[in-house]
Amino acid sequence: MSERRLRLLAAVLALAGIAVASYLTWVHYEGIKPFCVAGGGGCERVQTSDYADLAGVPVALIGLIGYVSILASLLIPRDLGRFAGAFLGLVGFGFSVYLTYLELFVIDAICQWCVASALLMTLLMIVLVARAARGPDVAVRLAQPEMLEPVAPG
Amino acid sequence: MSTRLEEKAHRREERLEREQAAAAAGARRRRLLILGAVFVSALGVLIAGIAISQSGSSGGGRTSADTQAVRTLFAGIPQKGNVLGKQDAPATLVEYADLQCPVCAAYTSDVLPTVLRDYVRAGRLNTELRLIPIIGPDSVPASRAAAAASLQNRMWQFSDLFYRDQGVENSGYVTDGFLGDLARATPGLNGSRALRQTGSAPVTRLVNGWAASARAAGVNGTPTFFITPRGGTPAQLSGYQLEPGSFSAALDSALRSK
Repeated sequence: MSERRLRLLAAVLALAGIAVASYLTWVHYEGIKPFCVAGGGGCERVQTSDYADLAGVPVALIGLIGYVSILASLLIPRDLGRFAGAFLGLVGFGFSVYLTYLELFVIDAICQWCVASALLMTLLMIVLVARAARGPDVAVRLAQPEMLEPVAPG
Repeated sequence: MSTRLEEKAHRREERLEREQAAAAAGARRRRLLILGAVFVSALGVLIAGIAISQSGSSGGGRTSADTQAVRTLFAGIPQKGNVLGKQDAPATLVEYADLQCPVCAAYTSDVLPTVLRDYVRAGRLNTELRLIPIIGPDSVPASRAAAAASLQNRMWQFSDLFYRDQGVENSGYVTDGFLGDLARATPGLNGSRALRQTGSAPVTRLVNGWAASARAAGVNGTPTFFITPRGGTPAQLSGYQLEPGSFSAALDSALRSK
């Protein structure tokens, strides 16, 4: 997949993540129950658990900041942006794994919104790490020796 | 001649290809090294984040998450004095409780959310909290502080937070500092005003009134529940266990027979 496509895919995923995290942040500050498709109040339990805050900052807000940072990293040119994106993707993915572990084994409730966010973050991590590992498009790399062409004897 | 030239060109091409491949491999190695460093630093940040999360959630005590939970539990339900729910609900569930009582805390954490969802939010009931200091000396300032919170229509939130932070009965833990922390953590409560009012005449009237009604109703333990149809006489709720299904069944039966 081309660099352009990977970037576009990452942007779409990050925007979806922003939508989910914005909703959960809003729900958190408004003190209302998140809408759960299958009912059961899992989201409410997760959102009101001891783990809903990290040093006083709601986890939903941390997620929102994470997705916005990933989107911003896509605007940084060249390798700096690629590696920054991969770094954010890896941190986000690791944190999603930790939160999913908490849901399953500590809080004992599953929140569909959190699962959706964890899936988005996993896909983002894959795309961002692949983008960083792959580097710029091949055409760009070949362009460098071609630029030296006039120096070489004909 | 041309063959030699062709050979030379061919060798040159091969050499260039080798150089290019080596450069590409070198670039790839460098890239993977950077990615490895990125991975290690991401792991570091992650471990630090998890450590912060764990330290914030362990050790018990009241956290901002408790405040948030209480805010969510009571969000949008009208509250006036010690009555939670619509004032014109067809019946009232009166609860006699003591903030030091662990069974009352269990009711509040395990059963009340269902009562609120299925009965109070649905407009079938409102519920009234009457605190009686039955367990001992620490219950008295606890009841007075909750009564003071009722003057700001935040008694239910304050009491719920108290239950979450219940200490050892009559160990002297209900200090001004303890109540101040709770009052400040209670969503929507002006904590300092509530603390100033704990010794006020309206608070004394409230707690005396609750004690008198408990005596009149023959309440000798907490929690004790009565169902009072609007304009009717109270009937004590019985035959339930402190779990949502059983309690709802007892409520349904009491509401049917009213």
